[in-house]
Amino acid sequence: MRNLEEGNLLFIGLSWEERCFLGLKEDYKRFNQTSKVIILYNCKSEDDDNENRGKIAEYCLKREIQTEFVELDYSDPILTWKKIDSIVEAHKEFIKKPVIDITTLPREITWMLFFFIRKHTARIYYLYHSPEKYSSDWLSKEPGAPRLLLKHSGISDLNKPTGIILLTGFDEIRTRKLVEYYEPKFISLGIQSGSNFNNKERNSKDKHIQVIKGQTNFNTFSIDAFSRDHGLSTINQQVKLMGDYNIIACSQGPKLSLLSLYRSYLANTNIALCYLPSRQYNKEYSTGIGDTVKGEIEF
Amino acid sequence: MKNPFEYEAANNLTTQEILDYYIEDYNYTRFLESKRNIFLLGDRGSGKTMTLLYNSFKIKYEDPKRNKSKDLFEKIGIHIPCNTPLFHKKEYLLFEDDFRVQIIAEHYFVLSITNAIVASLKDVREVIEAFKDFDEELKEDFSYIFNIPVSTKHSFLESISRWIDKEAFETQKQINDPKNNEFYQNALSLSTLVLPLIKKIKKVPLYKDSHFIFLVDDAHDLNTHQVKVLNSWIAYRDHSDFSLKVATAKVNKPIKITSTGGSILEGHDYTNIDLEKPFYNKDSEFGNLAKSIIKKRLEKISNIDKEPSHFFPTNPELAESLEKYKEIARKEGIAKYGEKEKKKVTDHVYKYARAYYFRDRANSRANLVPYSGFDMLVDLSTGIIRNLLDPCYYMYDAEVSSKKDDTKIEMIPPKTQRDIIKARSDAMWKRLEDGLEKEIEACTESQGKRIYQLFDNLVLHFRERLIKHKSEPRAIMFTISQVDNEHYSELIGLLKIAQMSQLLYTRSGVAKDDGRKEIYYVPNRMLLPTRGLDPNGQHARVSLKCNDLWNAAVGNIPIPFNDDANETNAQAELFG
Repeated sequence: MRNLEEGNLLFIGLSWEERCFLGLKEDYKRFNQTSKVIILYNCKSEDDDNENRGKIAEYCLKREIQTEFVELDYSDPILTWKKIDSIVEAHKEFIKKPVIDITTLPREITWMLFFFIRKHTARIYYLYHSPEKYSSDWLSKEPGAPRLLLKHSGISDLNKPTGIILLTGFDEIRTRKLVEYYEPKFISLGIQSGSNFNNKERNSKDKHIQVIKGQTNFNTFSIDAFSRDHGLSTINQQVKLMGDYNIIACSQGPKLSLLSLYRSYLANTNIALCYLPSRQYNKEYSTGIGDTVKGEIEF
Repeated sequence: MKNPFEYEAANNLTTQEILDYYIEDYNYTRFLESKRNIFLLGDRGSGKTMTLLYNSFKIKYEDPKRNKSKDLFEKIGIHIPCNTPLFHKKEYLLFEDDFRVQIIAEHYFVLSITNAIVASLKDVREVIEAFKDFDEELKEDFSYIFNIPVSTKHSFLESISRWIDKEAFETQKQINDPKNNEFYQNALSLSTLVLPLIKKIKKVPLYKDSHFIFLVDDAHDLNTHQVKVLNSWIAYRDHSDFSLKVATAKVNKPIKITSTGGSILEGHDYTNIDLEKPFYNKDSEFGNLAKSIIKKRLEKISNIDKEPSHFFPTNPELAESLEKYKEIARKEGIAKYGEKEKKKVTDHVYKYARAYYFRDRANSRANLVPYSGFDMLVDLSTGIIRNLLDPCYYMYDAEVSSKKDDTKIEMIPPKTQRDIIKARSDAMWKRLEDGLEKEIEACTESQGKRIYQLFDNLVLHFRERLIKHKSEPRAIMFTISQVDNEHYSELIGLLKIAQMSQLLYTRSGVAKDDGRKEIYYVPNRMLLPTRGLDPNGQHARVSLKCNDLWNAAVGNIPIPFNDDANETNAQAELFG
């Protein structure tokens, strides 16, 4: 087995999606010094019993890469927080070159990893693999209540109203859910630009406006999570514009937007990061693997 | 052009907007100004926040009708919203022991209350005047108790306000600090901060007889630890200086356990008040409230001096047809009871006229009923203010979008009303068909499917009644009978989810059999137009067997129709 001290430590999320295993192979192409893969999975889903589990184990074994499967309960953020803390703490000596494949990790888990890893290193590499295509049917169901990320819940001013910055996704019901839950005075909807994956139709501005109209004040702005800074400057601009609010920021758009939102949080720690969980994902959520985005974040 | 029917959260309205939109109900004001602890129960959109805000000192002071009242400084309502980011923080759950969790939960609560007290009072002219001679003494007292420097630049209340801001900032900063998992040592409580502050304020003669009323809003948003803290305050023996008025949703009502493990009891520690009003006809309490709300909004926002029934006129064909069927039913009643039995004839018209109209429409291939008119909108609201404003908002919006100039919207044509009612009704069915699991946290996919099947069969049952039932054809509410059934709790679980999605409401009324109070269920009447039913309904409750409802939900089996079903004819009550 490879020596932990010399190689990269890679974190991935186990999923039934094809791009989970295909993504790992791509990760290895880019980080062939990987000495250990830590695979996080949700004990409340069928993730611990899917084909990709065996494939990952076999692939790593052949290359003498160590593996560790870590069971989490994604529905319990307190337990998950403590478990991630302990797993990162146990590897702190080897977290010199950490790599996180964010593709199939929930946003909340990725942010938690960022939090604990940045205690030990100032630089994280990340990878994201687009699918070849998304299902044209529903993508997720059974949403949980929105929740503020632990230790990233901002600094609330007792005299300011609530405002939300939401980077919208394909599901407008989640937009409505967020507004109904926090009852903000104002919401700024960040709509992903471009027409990838039928984005113009599935994530149209009108769909989101329609479900919140009459309930709160809103504006919209365009953002490109696939740009060089993943939309960071656009988010920062919105944060500045909403200085009179206690801001709750939420990413439902392209996965890469979680990176820019996190970086924006680090620059504005008074804002709160929010996660909208879902208990069920379509088994046909995505197929294949598309482009890979690789980058690094300096904290 | 501002839409007069916007229904954004009351917390986000300005003082003037609250004064402009709110229609006072003296029953509630009386309860809210009492020294008793009250739980104010109401579904989402039933006006809980508006009621609390309207009775807060801040709004009362700005109200020219009420700011001269002698009790303005005797009963000081302090609005405390719980749906704020501070209340949604969960970091304290990372502490290992419950005692510490409770302390931080109370600390955040107390900071919010103190801030609300000070923010309500500090800018009021009379208060500034009243405090002048006592400011230095109060500042010194407070500075001694809390070990904070005496401010020479600011007044007592301003100093407290600044100190609370700093405390809130410091606490959150420490609790969020990545390098620090320590417990916050300076946590404050009701007895270490709020009660001493009230005592100090009462040293000022203007406040010597003041009673502080904490108007705790959206208590259903509190977590278990925060609720326990709140209940401990409710259980507090001495309520001469303060009392709590807690607004909460009917579903997911907070538990009644205190932080020391005791319980609070209705009647002993608190009183429940149901915010929903009888809503059976246009002259009911809710009908009158609805009329006042729409009239006031039209006047204040759109500068339109019109009766709601003129702004939302009924389709002439519908009005004419209803008159025609009234005449048919009247003749039928006279033939049956004789002309002298006026009451019986009137009852007969009430029961059957609309039923005949809707029955004929259901049996024919005619187009959709031209649903329209203000009374129809009141019926469709199911007694919930937000449900009343929702279609009105979309109707107004549709009229603005179709206009080519800036001229005022003087009325909503019946065709627009019908189209929007149809669209909102279809949208509600689509939510059911798509599955409530897409929007409700506690709902699974299987429950979502069952709820759709249950509602589908309920509406089919109501339709069958409309066509066949001899005495109560327009009943659209139900009670559950034969509840000693193994599936009863699962059925109630489904109904609770439907309540959380505002597709179903509960009311309480007197049972026919034994005069006891019973809960009955009212499906959101906006579901009815898509299926061609009459949202006006009838003062009758259909008694449905638990097993039949369960079979409808699980097996999609039609609910058996029985013309002799045991129905109750009773008016809903204001206080459940």
